Amino acid sequence: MKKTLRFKASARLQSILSRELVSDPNVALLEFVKNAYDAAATQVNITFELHDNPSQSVIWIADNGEGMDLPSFERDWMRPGFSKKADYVPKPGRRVPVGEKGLGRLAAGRLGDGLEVYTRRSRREPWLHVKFKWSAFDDMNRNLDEIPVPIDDEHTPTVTSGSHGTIVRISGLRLNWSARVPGRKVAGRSDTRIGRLRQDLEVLLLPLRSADQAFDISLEHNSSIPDDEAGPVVAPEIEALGYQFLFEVKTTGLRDVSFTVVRSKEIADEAEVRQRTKDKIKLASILNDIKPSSVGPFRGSFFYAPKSASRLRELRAPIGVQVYRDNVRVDPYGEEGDDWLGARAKKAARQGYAAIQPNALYGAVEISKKDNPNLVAMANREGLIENDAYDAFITICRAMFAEFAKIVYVEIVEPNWTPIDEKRQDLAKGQQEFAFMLARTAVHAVRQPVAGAGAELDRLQHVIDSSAVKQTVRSQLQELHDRTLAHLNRIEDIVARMLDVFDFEPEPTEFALSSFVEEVVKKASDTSAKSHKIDVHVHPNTQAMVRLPRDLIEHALVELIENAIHADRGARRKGKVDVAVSSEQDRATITVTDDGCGIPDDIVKHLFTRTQSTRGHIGFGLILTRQMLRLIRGDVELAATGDAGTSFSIMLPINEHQRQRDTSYAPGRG
Amino acid sequence: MSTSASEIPATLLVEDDQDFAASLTSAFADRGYVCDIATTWDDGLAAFRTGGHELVIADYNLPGSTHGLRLLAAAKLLVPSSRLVLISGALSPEAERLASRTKLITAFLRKTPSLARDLLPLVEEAAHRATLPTNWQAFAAGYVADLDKDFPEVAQIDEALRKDIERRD
Repeated sequence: MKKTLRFKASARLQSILSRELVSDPNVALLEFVKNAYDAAATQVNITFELHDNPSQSVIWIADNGEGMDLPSFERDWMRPGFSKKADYVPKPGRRVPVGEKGLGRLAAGRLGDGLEVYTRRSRREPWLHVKFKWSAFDDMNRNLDEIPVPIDDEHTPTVTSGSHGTIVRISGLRLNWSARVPGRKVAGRSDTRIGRLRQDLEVLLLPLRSADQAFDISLEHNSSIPDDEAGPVVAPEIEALGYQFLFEVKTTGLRDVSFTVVRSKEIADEAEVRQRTKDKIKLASILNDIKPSSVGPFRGSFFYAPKSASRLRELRAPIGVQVYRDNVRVDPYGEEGDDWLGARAKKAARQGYAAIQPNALYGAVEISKKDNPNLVAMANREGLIENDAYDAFITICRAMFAEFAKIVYVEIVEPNWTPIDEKRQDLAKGQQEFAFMLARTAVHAVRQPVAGAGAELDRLQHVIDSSAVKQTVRSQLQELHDRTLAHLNRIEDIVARMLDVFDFEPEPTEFALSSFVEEVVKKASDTSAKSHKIDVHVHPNTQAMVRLPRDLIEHALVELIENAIHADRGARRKGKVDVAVSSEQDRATITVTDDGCGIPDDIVKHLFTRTQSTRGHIGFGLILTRQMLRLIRGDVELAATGDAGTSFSIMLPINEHQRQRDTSYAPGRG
Repeated sequence: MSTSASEIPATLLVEDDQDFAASLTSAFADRGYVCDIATTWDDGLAAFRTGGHELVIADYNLPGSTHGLRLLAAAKLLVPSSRLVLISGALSPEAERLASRTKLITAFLRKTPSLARDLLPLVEEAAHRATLPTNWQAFAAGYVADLDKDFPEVAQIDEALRKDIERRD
């Protein structure tokens, strides 16, 4: 058997194409506006007659374009997929038609079940009236050409567009156009359906176009939402508020892309303008393996208005960089949610380091059918078809955006941006100061109940001392009193140490280290050392000057001296402590040595990590001392310990500029 | 029945922490020494005007009044023999040294567990002084002369102490 088969289109194909080809109802409506544009109309009026029941609402789209007669209607409308515009040869100064797939009219099914078309070429002709009911095409068992579409010339539209043109009436609407758009608000987008339609109409065509290509749109409606404007659709004025980045892939050679940077007066005054204003980049360096010839010449402009987001809102500037093909916008480039240049991705990846904030970026990239025949929009209006030309086009645009971002970063962001690390440091510093203040307040507050408890113990002592108390009870009470007082004194000791830290003057001052150590040792000698019969000697072997917080160093040194004074000396009643001061290179060292019995091994292991002490009570002096010294790039360590005594050393940084020639003192001093 | 010396409130405690004040005055009361208590400087001055106490123990950092040392100076003018003791848990060592410089203050004591014991001798002495006859005129004349010289310094020290408290708050 040998025969030839032919496709027969099921009627349902029409239904599928009309309802499912285009997802966004706005896009469906804009197809009719584009048809009017292609029909050389100078005016298109969109009118919504809205009712509470959407199925009773009607949309009129009337243009004063060329209109159609019956043969052209049959040829152009009744053959899905056919478009006379596909083979259109551009003529200079003439509008380049946008539609080329012959599918735009099918989008009517997305808007409503009924479609009536009135069209005529001149006043002398009657209006052709064609009526479609898309639900009639739902029968998949019937072929497309088996569904009748009535046509007559006996009806006149109730809206007019002039002597000629095409008027479309869409009924049985599928959407409630007088409602607010459900879901969360989208920045920069109206939250009403009609409001969003107006916004899309405003950017449908490139704002700058010549007078002979005038194309005015008006949008009328009876929506009850007060936000919804009615009347002429006016494209927002694109005001260059900050940076303009203009680039062009030229016709000749297609070897490079040139760009120019224009800065507004405010930017020029504020920014550290040190980047080039004009330059060229080799296409080969951008495109790698992609052939430059796959794309064709095109140009683009990016505008970035830092700190002008509110002004942009006032101007209703369309945020985002749109793509225009022969002056008509290509969806969805530049829409909210479309990040074709990667601006949002860059911001998300760099967490605050992004040079260009997407909400202040706008602009347009212009391509043409003549120069970029391979950059073709998809039938579903969801972008350009992906091919080599598309790859080259996107790569070049992103490279240009990256170049722009680099310039903005160097001139605006880098001088002014507080890095995340610095912000974190500021936050940490603030938290630290708060914690410090809280701790200081708490420590002060502790003193009240401690002193109060001391007073109560004094009362207990008074009771103990009275003759009314039996001896057996007296000794028990005395023990109770003494132990409690010891605990209170330890609390007071801790409080006093902590308050010493809080009272530190944190600002560094310059002082001679040896003289300073001598002062501290003298104080200790006059008090603690004397009462414990300990001689403290200083051996200053340096004239080094240091620039450090004096209080902090004093606290550290006193801690070591006190430890040395209180060192376990066994049965000996007297002892000595030596304090040596030396320096070398960029470091000064204060070593405190006692003649005690040494520190037991089990305590040495946890010297700087556990609150322990050989003085018989819990101490945290060394832990605190080490933490404080490390704050100023110093440290404390156990130098040696044994039967003959123990040495601790404090190491302190000497600033390059304060380093003095190291001179030993005359022997015998100290 | 006559009133013994120790039953006349010769000591006034100006302290806003009531628990602490109760413990401290109880320690004195156990030994027979009655104290008056005021919780603010202003109440303290009012109580002093009424009682003419021989010993005023006051916490420097009290709410409600900014008189500070100058108020103590005013009390001193009323009863020149009165001894003034400042107690504090909130002053820095430097501020403590400063406060101790003025002749207005008999003693500056930190709030430690031994505070009650340290104050007891002063309380005893005050109770004793309250029973003695005094040549007020002579005493006052001599003391006021000293005080006049002391006033500028008192104002400066007062200012420094107040700033110290503010800094630490």
